[in-house]
Parts: sequence; structure tokens; C-alpha cells
Amino acid sequence: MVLIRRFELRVNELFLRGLIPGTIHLSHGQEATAAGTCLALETNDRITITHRGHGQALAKGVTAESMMAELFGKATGCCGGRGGSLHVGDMSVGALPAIAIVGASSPIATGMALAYKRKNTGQVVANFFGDGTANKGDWHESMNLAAIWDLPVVFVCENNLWAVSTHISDTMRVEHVADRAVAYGMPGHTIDGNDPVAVYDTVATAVDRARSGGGPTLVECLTYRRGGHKRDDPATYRPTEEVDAWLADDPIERFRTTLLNGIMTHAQLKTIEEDVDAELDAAVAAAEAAPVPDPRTVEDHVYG
Amino acid sequence: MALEDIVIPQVGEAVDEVTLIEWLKTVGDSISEGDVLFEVDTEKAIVEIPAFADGTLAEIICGDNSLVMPLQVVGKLETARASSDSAGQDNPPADPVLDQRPSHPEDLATARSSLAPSGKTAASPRARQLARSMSVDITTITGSGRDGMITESDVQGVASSGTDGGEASREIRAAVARRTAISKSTVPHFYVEMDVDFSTVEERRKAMPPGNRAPTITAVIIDACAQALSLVPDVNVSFHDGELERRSTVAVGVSVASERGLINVTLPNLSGADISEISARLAEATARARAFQLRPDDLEPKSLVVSNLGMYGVDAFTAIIDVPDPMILAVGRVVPRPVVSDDVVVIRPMARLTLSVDHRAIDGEGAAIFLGHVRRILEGGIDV
Amino acid sequence: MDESRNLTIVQGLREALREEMLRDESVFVMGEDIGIGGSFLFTLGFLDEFGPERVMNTPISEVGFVGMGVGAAIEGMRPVIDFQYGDFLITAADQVIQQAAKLRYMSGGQVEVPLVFQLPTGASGRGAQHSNSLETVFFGVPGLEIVTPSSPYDAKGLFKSAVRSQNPVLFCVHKHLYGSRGRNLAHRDTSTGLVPDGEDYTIPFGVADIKRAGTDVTVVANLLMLHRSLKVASGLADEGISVEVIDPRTLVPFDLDSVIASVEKTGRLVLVDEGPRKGGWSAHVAAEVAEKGLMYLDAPIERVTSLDTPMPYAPGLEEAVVPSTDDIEAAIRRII
Repeated sequence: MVLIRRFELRVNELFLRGLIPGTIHLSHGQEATAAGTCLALETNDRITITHRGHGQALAKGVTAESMMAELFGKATGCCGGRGGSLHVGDMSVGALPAIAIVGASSPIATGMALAYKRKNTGQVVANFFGDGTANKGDWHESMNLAAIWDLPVVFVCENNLWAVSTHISDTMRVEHVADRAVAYGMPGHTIDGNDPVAVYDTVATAVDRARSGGGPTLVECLTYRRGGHKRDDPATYRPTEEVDAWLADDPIERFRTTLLNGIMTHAQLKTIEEDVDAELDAAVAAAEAAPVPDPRTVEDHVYG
Repeated sequence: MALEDIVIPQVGEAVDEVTLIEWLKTVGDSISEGDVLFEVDTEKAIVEIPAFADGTLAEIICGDNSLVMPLQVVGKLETARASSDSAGQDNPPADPVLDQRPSHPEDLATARSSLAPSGKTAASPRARQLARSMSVDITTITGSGRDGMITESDVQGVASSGTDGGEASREIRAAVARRTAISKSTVPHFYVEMDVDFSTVEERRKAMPPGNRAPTITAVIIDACAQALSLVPDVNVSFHDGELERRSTVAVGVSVASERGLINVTLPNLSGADISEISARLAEATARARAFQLRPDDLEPKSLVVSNLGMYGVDAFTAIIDVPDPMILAVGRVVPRPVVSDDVVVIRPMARLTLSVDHRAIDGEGAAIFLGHVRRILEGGIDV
Repeated sequence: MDESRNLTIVQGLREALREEMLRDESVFVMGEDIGIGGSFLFTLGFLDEFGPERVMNTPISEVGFVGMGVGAAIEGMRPVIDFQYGDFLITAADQVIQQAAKLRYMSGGQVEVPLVFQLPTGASGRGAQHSNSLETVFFGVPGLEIVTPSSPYDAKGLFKSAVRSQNPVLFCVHKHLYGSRGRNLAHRDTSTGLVPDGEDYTIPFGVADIKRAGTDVTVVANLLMLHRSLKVASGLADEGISVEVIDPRTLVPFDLDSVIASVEKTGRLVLVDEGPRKGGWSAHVAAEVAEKGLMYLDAPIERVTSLDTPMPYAPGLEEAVVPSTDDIEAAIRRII
């Protein structure tokens, strides 16, 4: 979680300094959902990643170095500079490079789950998506297909209340995204997405169910993005009281308090933070030093 | 006073693009009806276009050496006629080109030639490359491709024809090449042959009063064909763009070998014309063709062309139809031959007539009846 | 080759799919109503032979099951997705254009999407929404392969190559050419044919086939238009006009070399494409030949295409939109 937070803050700084091209969607504030979910998965399990996916990728094990290089558009990036912030991922650690179209990853995750079932590999896939996705037909079709064929997929909703500038209360008549699970005949849970332990417990139960042939589960994690939709969005549409309340409930500060209550020491936590900073320093230095992709390779990977 | 359009007349039926060579009048000139305004080149001949009314040349829209289409407005004539009688400026005539522009893109080719910038030579890249490599001036070549585009074979034709003949003959050569190739490849030809006894013709030619010039074999045959066309309306037809139409008048063409190449000249409105009139008109038309100074009606469509190579000692030949005219009659030499008459072998002046027919327009029966009539008329069996 | 094996295209496709499913356990087929064979009876009998796990009858959820095909392909399966009408693929266009076609590239080659779409294409009297030329709609999308077979021989060999391809393949078959029971089969004389047996028989992508050799003009046509062009070529031969008819067989990749070599010989090119006039493969090929083979051209390139209208329903109107043999013949005559 510390790695995600500090990675995002570092990326923000590098972006403002003009070192990262393109656009970025930061996930700081939503660390607990990514970390709790991925902790419940084995290495050879998969995740699909959203456009706000740096945290999900880091949680699954994509290295900060390969992601930073990718954000810099360098040849050493996890996608060789062809993906960028919107498509980070590393199949070697089970992270399908991110699918940045809202809703499109749900049927793909469902199809990946079909392959695990057919090949009897015992793998599970977690499909990350946001509250906005819950209004996409793609997602509804996927929920139904996963349910009717009992596929090993866990639908993990990062409900941060806002689809860019539109509040969830303006787009749903039911109170919770998870309420929709019943329509497809699968379990649905609404949990505190800023509590990594709660996320881990719920997702682990869903993963066990999926792995044992029980079919899909919908897990709705209530969380909040600390920044705007993307780098140039000041998010002034959000009410001050709501923002203040959520920012006060910071998942990292809350978990830090939990850990300091007899589980870890200040010194241990400081060591984590120093290790993270060193890792990020190295990642940025490596990204800055890395070669840019050779334009002569620009047509590679269109066809196999 | 009225400002009236001067248009390119329909000079020949299958002509879709001509060159306005030269205006013989300038703006402001006083014009009398019948004065030659300008000349156009139809690939087959230079045609003089006369004024249709008295007046003053008010405007030249398409200058010398313009590529123009039939019915295209090329100038304005201010006439003394009342403007209500004509389409004046208050009520301009519809632009024939625009009106005919199809909405279907596949038909654009038919409209395309009118959009070509005047004076620009259209040649295929392949033809241009060949012309460059052979140092041939592409602007001197007449195209046989789509919309008159110069093709590789046009360049090859010029290159192989060498330097004799000059530009005009090259153009006629190219036109003949194009038209005969189109005819041979697109018109389903069939042929009907008959041997004709010219004894009666010979006798009548010898019986002409002294001082009168005897009609030529060609004139006699044109006369017989004109009469036969009147008797067999089924073959007095035109076939163009898939449309079969009966002709209301009788027109017969004749192939004239000019110095510049082969020209088929039309003798229109032959109904009622006697042999002496036909002879006179044939002589005039032949002279105009050889001088390369044809009038618009010299190129009118006709049901039949007569091509006589008898004077060169040819016994018989088959001719290629001159599209869109549906028939061409090839005439061999008149020569004494043994024939069986009343079970006795006798010597008669005989000639072989070979009729080439466009089967899309005319069936075998009609062609046979027609040629039979021609023979009977020539042999004196029908007294018209 | 056994003379008795004179097949229709759908029979050739069925053989190809069956052989590939027997050869490779990862091949499966999914789609709407495929338990009873699907709209054109492509999978007739497959449910009984291979069972519901490899012959997956789907709900009417095109985005869902196309996306599932993408996901399953990423994870090592070789899905074949059957469409009742290729037109319905447009509802899942994001999964085709944004996902299947791009995942390999934007992941830097980390994933592959070997996926086949079986797509009935073209006009067949069913009005505007069941008549799209899918090969035109998706032609400009990098990352897709597009196959348009015109004979049973080609259909079988190309379909087996499609299943074995590492790329997403749109396999477009004209609705009038399947020869499915109860369906109209156009140009039976040229659209049925002998088909070899055996799983080693494949046809590589990107290799055009000269269906009729000629010297005067090159006609490039596919699908139903190929058969119309062959008919025209046969008629013109009686007049001494020698037409070379080339079937590109695959539009992506496209065998431009064969077309240019033919144009070098004939100097004339007519492209016949059932898709609308704007865009599509024939516009692309015309541009390519103009760029790379201009000096071989002895006449303007002619394109014979459908009009830029939605497809009308009334038979006479559909005929007015879709290129006819007369349209093809007229285009040839314009430049001969």
C-alpha cells in the first residue's frame, strides 16, 4: 500500500515536471482494495486492470521499475513502451495489461475464467472495475455468462462513488452495486474498501469458491480516490464535506494505526517506507536512463 | 433582339467528343445565316459549322483547340429574333451537360469527358512512359481508350507508322483502328453473299445518251440499295446503345479512300432520288471527303455503307461494319463468268456482293430479302 | 481427389472445423443457436459429436461472448465464434477493434488473441441491418486478419489456417455462397467444387488465386462478386476479350504483388467489391496500384462497388445497389 501511495505521488510529481507524456489516472486512496484483493490471489492467478490501474498492477507484483519505464515510454517498460499508463501489466506475474475501456475487461476476464475451467488449471481471475462500469451492458452480460457457466472469476468493484464527475446516486436506483448480483444468481458483498483485511477476507472467500467450482462472486469495495479523475481534473464537483470525510479516513493511516497496535513497530514501518523510496528512486533513475523504443520496431507485435 | 446559344451539333451519331479547331469569325463580326462560324475535328473529318441565323457574334465561350461535346454551348449569337421565341437570358436553357450528369457513379465515365480541361492530353501512364522512351510527341496522338485516353497501343501505332502521312492521317488511322476494333470485338457480324448479273446494268450504262456521263457501278449499287431499303423497312434501322429504331428516311453511305485515310460519307434522304441525282451527289460527297472538308450531314448515320473494291480487281471480300450503321456491302469486281442460264452455260458480267450485318439489329431473313431485292433491282427484275 | 467429394462451402467449413477440433483440444466453438447448427448450419451435428463444453450455445450477449472469446484466447484456447449474421458483430465492435485487434500490440507482445469469427456477410434480400459487408466495415483495423473465401476448396483450407493463426481472424462468407440446406446458393456451377480430405491441407493467408487466366484486363473480385466476374469473363471470351480474374482470398494480408504482376501484363484493372464505394479493400487496392503500379496502367482503374446507401429491401432496389454482371461487364468495356 505504501508502494502504491508513493508510486502515485512520485508519478504525479514526474508528470508535473514534464517527464511523463500522455495522461495518468492516479489511484492513491484506493490502495487497500488493490492490495487486499491481490493478496488473496496466487501468483498464477490473474487480474484484469482498469484505466486507474497502477495500484492494481503493483499489488499483483508488476515491478515499479518496469511500470515507471513504461510510463516514461521507454523500451524497458513492461509493454515495451507500446502501452503506457493506460495499459500497464505483466503476464509473468498474472497481470493482464490494462484494458482502458470501461466495461470491456469484464467479458475478457470471464473468457479467461472459461479457459481455466476447460483446461482445469485451478486458476482464478479477479476482474477489477469501477462503479461506472456497473452501468455498462458489457458488464451485465459478463456477470450473467460467468454465472450460468459457473466460471472462476471474482468481480471486484472499486466503488469510489464518482464516474468522473457523475455521482453514483445519479446513475443507480439500487443502493449498492452488489445488490445487482442477485439478478445473476451469484453472491454479492458490499464491504469497506479502505480496510485491506476486510477486502482480503472477502475476496479470499470468493476465490476459494471460484477455485472449487462454485462460480463467480461480486465484491463491492467502498473507497475513494484522493485526487481527480485524471491529472488535469481538480474534482471540484465533489462536495467538501464528502471529500473531507473520506480523506480523513485514509486507508494507509488507518492500517498504520492497526499495525502499530502490537503488530509492527515504528522502526519496521520506517524501514518499509525507506525501502519503497529507494525502490522508486532506482525505478525513476532506470527509467530516465533507459533507451527509447527503436522506431524501426514500431510495426512489431501488430500480428503474430 | 435575342442572345442565342451556339452549340456543337451532333456531327455523327457515335461521336462523343470533338475538337473545336478554329473560329473563322471574331466577336463583333456580323454574321449571315450559313456563314461558317468554326470548324470541328471529329477524328473522321474536319466539319464546318455554319451559322443558324443572321446576327452578330456576341461571345466565344470555347476558344480554338477546345475539346467539346455535342450540344455543348461554345458561343453566343445576337440575333434579330424576338427573345420570346428563344431561350433568352431571362430563361437560360438547361445545361445539357449538367442535366445529363448521372447520379450513379458508375456512369460518371460518360460525363467525364465534358469535365476534361480543354487542350490537356489524356494519356495512360503506360502510354506516356512508352512515348517518352520512343521520343514520340504524345500530343500528336489520338486516343482510343476510355474517354479518348491515349493508350499503349495508340503510341505503338504511331511509332510503327513512321513519319510518312503526317498528323491528320495518323489521326484517321487511329480512328479507323479504334472503330474497326470496337466493331469487330463488340458487334456480332454475320454475312450474306450473292452473285449478281450486271448484264442489265452494263446495257443501260452503254445506252446513256452521248455527252452524258454514265453512272459509276458504285452509284448504281447505291441506287439499288436505296430502293431496296425502302422496300424492306425491317433493315432500314439504326442500332445504338442497345436501342433499335426504324429510320424514317433512306440514307446510304459510301467508303471513300482519301489521301488521309478511309472515310465513310453519307448520302442522306435518298427517297425519290434518281440515278442522275445520286451520281451527282456521290461525286460531290466523294470530292469533299477527299478534300477533307465535310459538312455535318456528310457524317449522319445510315443503314448501309457501300464499299467497292472492284476497281482494284478484288473478286470478293468481307467488310467490317462501321458502327453504329448496321450493314456494310462489300462489292467485288464485275467480271465475265460462266453461269448456268436455262440449263445452258453462258458468259455474263458477274460481281460478288457480300453483305456484313449486325445481328443485334437485323436477322438473317431480313438481310437475305434485302440483298435479294438489291440483286433483282440490279438485274432489272424489279421495275421501280 | 475423390470425384464424389463435390462440396458446398458450408460443407467444406464443417470439415475444416471438425478436423481442427479433433486435432487440437483447445479449439471450441461458441455462438447463438449453434446447438442446432447455427444460422447457416455451420455446426450441424457438432453438439452431438463434441458435447456442450466444446460447442457452447450462448445467450444473446454478443459483447459478452465475443469478449469471452478474447479472454479464452489470451489464456491459450482457440475459440471459433459463430455468428448467425456477421452484422451482429457490430454490437461487439469494441471487443473486436479495441481489444482483440490491439491487445498483442499494446501489451508489447505479451499476449496473443488467436480467435476466429465465422461471419455471414453481404446482401441477401434481408434489408439494411442484415446485409453489411463486414469485410469492409473492419478492413481498416490493424491487428485483424480478414478472409473472404469464394470456393469450398479455399474455404476449407483457409478456415484451417484461420484456426491455426495466432491472430484474430474475421472469416467472412457470403450468405449466397454457403450452400446450406434450405438456403439459396448462387452460381452453383462455380461456387461448389472438389475439396481435399485430410488435416494437413491448409491454404496460407496472403496468397491470391488466379481463378481464370487472361491477357487483356485484370479483374480482382471476391465472394459473390468473384462468381459474377467469372460469368462475365466467360461471356467476353466469346468476343475474344481475355479477362484475368484474381481472387485475393484474404483481404488482410492482401497479395498486392499478384495483382500488380497481373496489371503489368494486362495494363488494365477492374476491382469488384460488394461493399459500399467509400472505403474498403477495393479503394485501398486502387490506391496501392496507383502508387506502386502506375506505369503499368494503360487505362484508368475501374471500381465496381455497391452504392453508398444502406441496403434496401425490395429485390429490385437491392439489385440497383449491388454490382451486377452488367455493371462488371460495362466497367471492363469502358477500358478495353
